[in-house]
Amino acid sequence: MTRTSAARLADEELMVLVQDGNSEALEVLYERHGGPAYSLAHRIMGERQAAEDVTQEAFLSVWRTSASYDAARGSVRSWLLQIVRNRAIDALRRSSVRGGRLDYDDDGLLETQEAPEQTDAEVSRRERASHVRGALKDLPHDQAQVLALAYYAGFTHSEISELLGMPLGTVKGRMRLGLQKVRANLGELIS
Amino acid sequence: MSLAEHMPWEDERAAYLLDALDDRERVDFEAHLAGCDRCRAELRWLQPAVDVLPASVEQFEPPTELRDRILGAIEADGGRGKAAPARPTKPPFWKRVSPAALTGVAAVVALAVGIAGGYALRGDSDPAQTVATTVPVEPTAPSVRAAANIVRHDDTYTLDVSHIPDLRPGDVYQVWMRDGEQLQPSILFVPSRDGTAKLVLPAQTGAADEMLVTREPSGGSQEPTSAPLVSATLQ
Repeated sequence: MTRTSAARLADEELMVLVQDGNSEALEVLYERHGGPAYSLAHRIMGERQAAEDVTQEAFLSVWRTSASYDAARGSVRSWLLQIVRNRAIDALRRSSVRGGRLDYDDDGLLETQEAPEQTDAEVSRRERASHVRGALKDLPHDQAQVLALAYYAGFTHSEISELLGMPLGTVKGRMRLGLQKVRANLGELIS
Repeated sequence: MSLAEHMPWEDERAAYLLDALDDRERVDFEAHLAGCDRCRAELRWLQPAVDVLPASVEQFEPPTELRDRILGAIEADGGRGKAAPARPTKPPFWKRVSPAALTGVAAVVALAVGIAGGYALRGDSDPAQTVATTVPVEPTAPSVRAAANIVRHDDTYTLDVSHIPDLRPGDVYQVWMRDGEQLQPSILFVPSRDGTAKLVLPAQTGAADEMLVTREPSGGSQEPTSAPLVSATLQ
């Protein structure tokens, strides 16, 4: 299987090849999803070198744990981005950086800066990001804040409760309501 | 499950999907999830909301050299994240057990076989020359439903696991061997989708006092980064 022929395959088909140790298939997955993976890592880590390290770790995790991918549970892209997020949060928890980001706010949910590149893939990603931001912008600040603290900073709900000085039940409720609202707003985009 | 039993879990679902539960809460919730259709349905509905969060961030092009770094790392990872080599330093645990204790072990073996329902002692065609020993592996908390045994057959140790909780994407389970004060990293594994795993343990198993299993990032860790899910006393 050459990289050219691998490039014609769907992500799920590429994963089968990756499970067989085909590095060309992983290379194609990187070409398709490396940008979003790096962008997410950059958002969480806050700087380029750490984002590169996390992205590398994540693709190495895909390579090593490809057998655990289950198409019935979601797309390859979602699985890969969950790995990126997990690796980034693990890295934050190992470092002192997270302690310095205790003023984390919901800005990450409402980013408006656009990437300078204008490739087709980039345009598509920007359009998707714009849709998602649109679906998120109506979220009340207090709900967006707890989602950001959990997803982008890796805090548990108990830690968020302590951090914001609010009862644990309030944090849990805001997390639930916020995520439900995001899901409801995204109905059309997801379908 | 009654509504009253279910209600305390209503607010845990979003936190679970956002990975905002601590280890114990996560294990407890997964135990509840196994018997709750309502929560499973709600998680299926909510999951896309988490999946799209990465798309909302500022988009960057990764540096061109990152692709080469990643492909180089994969090329170098021929062993796919194998853990530390075996380090036998003591006689195997079954050789350190007194005859009286062996009687006790036999009782435990019988109990383990009965409880596990399917983890049978293995024997050769000539049982007089081959002794199989089964050691039960215990969950570290009541909400962990994993069942497991270590079976020694000749010089081979096999770990059979069932009902082990799901892993986060990209994570693996890692086996650890405690020898006195020292905790040594051992092999990595990813269970099948039905929550089972059967693996051959390295020779160091015979020299260890205790075996533990933790969740770790792919590639494993040099020290545990999460609480053990199961453990087994080997002597």
